[in-house]
Amino acid sequence: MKRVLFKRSLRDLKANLTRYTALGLLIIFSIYMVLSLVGAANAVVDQTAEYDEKLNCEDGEFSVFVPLTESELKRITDKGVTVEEMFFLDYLMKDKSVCRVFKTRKDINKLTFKEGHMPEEDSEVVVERRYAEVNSINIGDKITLGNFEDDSSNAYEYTVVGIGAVSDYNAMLKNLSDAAVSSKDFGLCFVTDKAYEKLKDAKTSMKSEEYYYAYKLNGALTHDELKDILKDNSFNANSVDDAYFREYYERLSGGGALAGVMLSMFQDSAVFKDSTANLISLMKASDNVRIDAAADDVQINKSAGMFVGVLLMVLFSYVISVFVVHTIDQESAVIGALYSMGVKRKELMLHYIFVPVMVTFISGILGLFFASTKYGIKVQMQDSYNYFSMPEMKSEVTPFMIIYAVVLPPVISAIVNALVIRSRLKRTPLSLLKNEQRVSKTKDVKLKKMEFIRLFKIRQLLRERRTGFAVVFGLFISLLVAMLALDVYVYCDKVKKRNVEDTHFEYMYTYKYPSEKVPEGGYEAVAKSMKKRFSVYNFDVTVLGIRKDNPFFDIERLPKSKNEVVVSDSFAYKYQLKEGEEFTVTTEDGDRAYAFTVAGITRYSPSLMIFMDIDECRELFGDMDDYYNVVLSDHKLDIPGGRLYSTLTKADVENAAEVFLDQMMSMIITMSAASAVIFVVVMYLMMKMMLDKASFNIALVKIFGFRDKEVRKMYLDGNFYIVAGGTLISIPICKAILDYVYPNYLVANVASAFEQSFPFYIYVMVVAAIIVLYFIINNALVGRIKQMVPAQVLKNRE
Amino acid sequence: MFVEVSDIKKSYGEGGSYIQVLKGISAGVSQGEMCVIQGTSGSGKSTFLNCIGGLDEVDSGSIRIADKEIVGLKGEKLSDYRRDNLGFIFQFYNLVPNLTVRENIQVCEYLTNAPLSMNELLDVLGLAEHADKFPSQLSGGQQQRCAIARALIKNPKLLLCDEPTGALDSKTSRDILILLEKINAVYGTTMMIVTHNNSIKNMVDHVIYLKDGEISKDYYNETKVAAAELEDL
Repeated sequence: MKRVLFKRSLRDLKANLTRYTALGLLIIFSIYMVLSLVGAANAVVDQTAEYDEKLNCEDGEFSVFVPLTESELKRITDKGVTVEEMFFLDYLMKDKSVCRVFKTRKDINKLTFKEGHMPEEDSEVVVERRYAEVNSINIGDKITLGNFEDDSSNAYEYTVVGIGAVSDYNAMLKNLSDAAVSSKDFGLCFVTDKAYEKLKDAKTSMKSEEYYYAYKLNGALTHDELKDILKDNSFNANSVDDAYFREYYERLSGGGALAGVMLSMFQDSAVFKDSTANLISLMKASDNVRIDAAADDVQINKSAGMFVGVLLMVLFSYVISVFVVHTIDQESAVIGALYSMGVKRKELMLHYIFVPVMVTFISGILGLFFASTKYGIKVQMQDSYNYFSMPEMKSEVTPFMIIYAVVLPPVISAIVNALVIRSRLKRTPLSLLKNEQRVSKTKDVKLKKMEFIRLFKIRQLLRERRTGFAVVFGLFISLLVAMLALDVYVYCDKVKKRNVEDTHFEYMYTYKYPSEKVPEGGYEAVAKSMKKRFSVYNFDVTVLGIRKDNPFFDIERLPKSKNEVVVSDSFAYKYQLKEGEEFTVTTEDGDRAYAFTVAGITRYSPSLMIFMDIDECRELFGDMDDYYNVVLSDHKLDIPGGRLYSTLTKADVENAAEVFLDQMMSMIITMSAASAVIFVVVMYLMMKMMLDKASFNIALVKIFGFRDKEVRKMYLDGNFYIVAGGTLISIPICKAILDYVYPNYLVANVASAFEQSFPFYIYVMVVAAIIVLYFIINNALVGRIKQMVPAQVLKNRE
Repeated sequence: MFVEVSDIKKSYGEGGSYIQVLKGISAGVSQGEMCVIQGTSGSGKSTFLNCIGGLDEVDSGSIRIADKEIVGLKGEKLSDYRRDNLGFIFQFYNLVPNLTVRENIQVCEYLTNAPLSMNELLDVLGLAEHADKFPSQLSGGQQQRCAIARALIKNPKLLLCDEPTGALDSKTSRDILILLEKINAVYGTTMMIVTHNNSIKNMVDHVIYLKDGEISKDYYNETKVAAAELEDL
């Protein structure tokens, strides 16, 4: 008996090969997509942690005005904390990119190599991987650092001997407030200690040396305890060699206002109550957006993948249940005959479960297989690899992935089958033999008099409501995926366009040591770096005190107030603020909080910005009346690099703005394609099944004289209502879900925000794509209607 | 002749499984005539009816309905032939399960510009009170009456009935046959009825016997019996 039933199962598989193949492909594709996404995320998260451990990633870093003295360092290290200098110099390269030069690291944040080795000679350099890739720098190439424009004797040539990555620059952000990585424009170089000193002595860097230290607490101190020790350190201004510092210091101390000087001197210094404190900032690794950025980024993919994965699993289950109900109904007489002859329920169940379970099991294995090839997890990891500066990582198959792919689909299939068969086998063998149709209240409702074809379509829809629901469900899932892709596209496109449109200045110079007078042609401003938390991320927010006549920001009314401010729309969207509402920001170390009221919202997207009147700003933060630390200009100003922290040009903004869209385009295309595949396969499967179920009736109406065109109207075209209705319902629901999920979870880590609305043409495109795909499937199934020959179907029935 | 069949041959299969079902049948049925096609199982009577109905293709020969050749018709032309000329009644009713009685009849009403009156038909067939019921809520006889109404609504020139009483008890069978007789009398519908029931031949004008794919008898009844008086149904 078992052998006979097994043979029959194989024949069933053969007879319904198209249906099982399509179902199998849907499962393979979905598992492939979900596991690629989740598997890549797992691999990045796990291996980032492994690399952090291996490369001894810092626990945190701090910056100071002047390097710590031996005794100051000893005071920390004696406590058991490991500290290493991470001093750097920025150099403008021939291609206008900026290269940040470090000494090779000895203990903390060590280099890992893609190829090559540490520099052994003073003429050798290691280049950061992404910068090398984007700028086509290879081992053996020569790069020049220094002033090669004005004085070639101050430019030094280095041979690239290694290409690698460091964990403290996982996201290659030049400034922590940058919204996006642009490896074309910014990279790292590592040279020997001697080479670094030689470069520094040449004084050709874009700005003065930055004094950063990385530390490992080793369990000896907490971050706060370390900070308290560092805060005690003061410095002697006379011991500083930097000419710009000395000029600035002498100018202001000559005015007898040292306390004011020290408060005003650096954009972040106002947080310190002690005017002689050497510490500028201290940041835990967990607050550093450069560290573990790839892992943070893919956490979102992991969540999204799991979410879509669960939805797809529910979709499979539903599609499988629709198939099973159809098969069981078709086989009702056979089941009745076998049941009445004494075949046990368990045997029947095993027989009918066998094929769908095998199909889902094999599909799951194939899905897992494809996900683990280089076209699966590796491809998804490539997105991270192409954006973040991380070492090459292996793809890995975790137990979760095996359970998801190999165990869940057949188990779900078996359960659904068992439940349906169990409910069917509750009927008497005679009822099964006759395939008695029960009158269902929902299926067989009374309808008003109407045009026949319309009436028939409605009856068909009511009859096939379960299948119709599967179509709507599939449509919903595919729309969710498609609209997520579109959300990403619209967001990236807005970054690309708005960041450029909203940047009206050509140059933004941030000063370390401002000159006495504002350079001619420049508009002075006061920038204060603050923090504001969003979700688990603590974003840099800039309070910018500007003059009323500043032409670079479109602000109609700038209140003369210390607590009324105008915020950028990116800030307003990010924190869901409206005019009149209050909010707070904190200093970087969280010691002090400032409360503001939104007096206006202005268009500005490149960063999270709070605008206030410059005089009110100076007063609020205790700066002198003529203090400034930012100069904006519509042309290049002649400002010595040594005075500056950074220079932001409109070109930088443009380049960074393009990165987002370029980076995400492959994901947008993959997701759009995935969405189309899900829609097409589910729709095709379900519509074909509706036709197969109705094959006898189709033959019948053909016998009566209905033409193929009319049969199509009666049995196929009604699905348009399902698709149209499903689209009308799904689009706003999907959009509402994504409007909540996208900004709050998927781009929660981005220091910008936009209004989430889609331009109208996007909705038109989505609807048009659905209609086109629907008509393609509809047309493909017309052939199936033509194949339903009256006599043959009648004969089969007999 | 309204139906004129000349030397039609029909076979199935190839090689060892080859079987010739119709071996050159020629017959004719006049307009308004009730004709029964009888024969043992496998004699080819259903195939004969299917060929006339354009449900199956013949290998050779000619079938003319109302002076129009239907052999060789394909696609829409074949659909139009059935649409304009034929009504079908099957042994197992073949109603569309999710349509009410009225809606099942509407299926064929849609196919003609000059349908018979729906309400009149429902009355004549005793279905008025069941018009809004679904097939599963009807008895076998009621379902067959619904199938007849569906076939008649477009006032077909030729009604093809394949074992119309095959699934019914004798009382219901008689009711159905009375109904067919009445329809023939009222509407003048030509009917070809395939049946294995020996009594039915007594109520019709014309009887064709098939045996092994050939006509063994073809005669006209000189003494017709009313359906109500048929015995051994």
